[in-house]
Amino acid sequence: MVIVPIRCFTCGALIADKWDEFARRVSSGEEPEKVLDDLRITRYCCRRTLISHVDLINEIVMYSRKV
Amino acid sequence: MSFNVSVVERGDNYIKILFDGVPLQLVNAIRRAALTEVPSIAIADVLFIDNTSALYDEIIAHRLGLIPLTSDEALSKYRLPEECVECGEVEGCEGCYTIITLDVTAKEEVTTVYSGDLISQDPDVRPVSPKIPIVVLAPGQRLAFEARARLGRGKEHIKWSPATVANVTYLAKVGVDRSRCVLCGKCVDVCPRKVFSVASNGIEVDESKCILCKQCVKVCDYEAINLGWYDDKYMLYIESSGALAPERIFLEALKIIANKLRNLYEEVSKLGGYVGGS
Repeated sequence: MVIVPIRCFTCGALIADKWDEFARRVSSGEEPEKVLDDLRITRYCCRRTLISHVDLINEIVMYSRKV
Repeated sequence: MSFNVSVVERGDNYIKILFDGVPLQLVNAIRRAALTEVPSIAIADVLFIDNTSALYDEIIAHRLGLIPLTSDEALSKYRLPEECVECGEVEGCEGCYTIITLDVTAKEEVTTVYSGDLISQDPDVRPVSPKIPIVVLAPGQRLAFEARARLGRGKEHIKWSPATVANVTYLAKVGVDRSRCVLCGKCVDVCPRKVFSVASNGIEVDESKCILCKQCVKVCDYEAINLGWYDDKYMLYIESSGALAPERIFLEALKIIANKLRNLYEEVSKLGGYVGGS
C-alpha cells in the first residue's frame, strides 16, 4: 500500500492512528507481536494489516508531480 | 416472559452483553441495527481547493470519509439522512451538514498531514484520534479542501456505521461423562483455549473459554465429551469505531427497532376490522 489504510480491510476497526507508534517501535528493534499487544490490536485481521504494510509514500513522495 | 440482560464486560471501545431468555432473532436484530441502522457522522463530500500531493483527490476523499468523527452530540444536533435527501445541491441547508476544512503546505521538509490538522466548524464533531495520517506532502506541495460531514447509516456506506464489529455468539455447554473418561489428558493438550484441566476428582471444565471448535470431541477415544450450547443464552459483542460509545450504539439500536415495530403496528392498525387487540 502507498499509505497506511485508515481502517482494517476486514473488520473496519481504526488502525491508522496506531501506525506511527508501531512503525517507530518496530524499526527500533522491538518485537512486532509485543507492540501489537501493547497497542491492543487483538484480532488477526488488524494485525496482518499493520504487519504487512509497507509505507511506500515516503519513497514516491519526492518524485510526484512538479509543483 | 422472564429474561435477564447483563453487561459482562466493558472495555474502552467495546461492550459484551449476556442475554438470558431473549430470543436469538431479537438479539440478532439488535446486532444488525447496530451495524446498519444506527446513524453517525462522517465526511460525505469534499471540495478540493488545491491538491498537489502524490495521492489523487479520490483517494484522499475516500480516506477522509473513513475517519471516524465523534457523533455523541451530533445525533441530536443534525438532521437524519432521510430528511436531508434534497440538500445535496442546496447551499445553506440548515442542520444537515457541518463544514470541515484543511489547508496545509509543506515548507522545507516532508510533512505528514494528520487528522489533527482538520479544522471543524462544530467543536462537537472532530476526529476520534488526532494521529490518523491523511497524506504525506513533499516540500512545496499543498493540500487544501472544504469537506461536508453529515449523518448517515451503515446501510448506505460502512463509514457511517458506528460499530466496527457486532456479533452474537452461543454459550458453550461442555459436559464430561465421568463414567467414560479415563483421564488420558488428550483433551487438555488439544484444546486451544485451555478449557480443560486435570483435577483430583476428574477433568475440570471452564465453559466460558470454549469456542466450540470440537477438537476435544475428535481427539477423545472414549466419546466422553459432550459439546453443545445453551438454549436462549446469547452473548452480544459490540465494538465501537469511536464515533459513539458502545452502550449508546446498543441503546440507539434498540430505539430504532422499537420505532420500526411501532410504525408497523400503526400501518397494520389502519387495516381496521381485520386486526383486533389494542
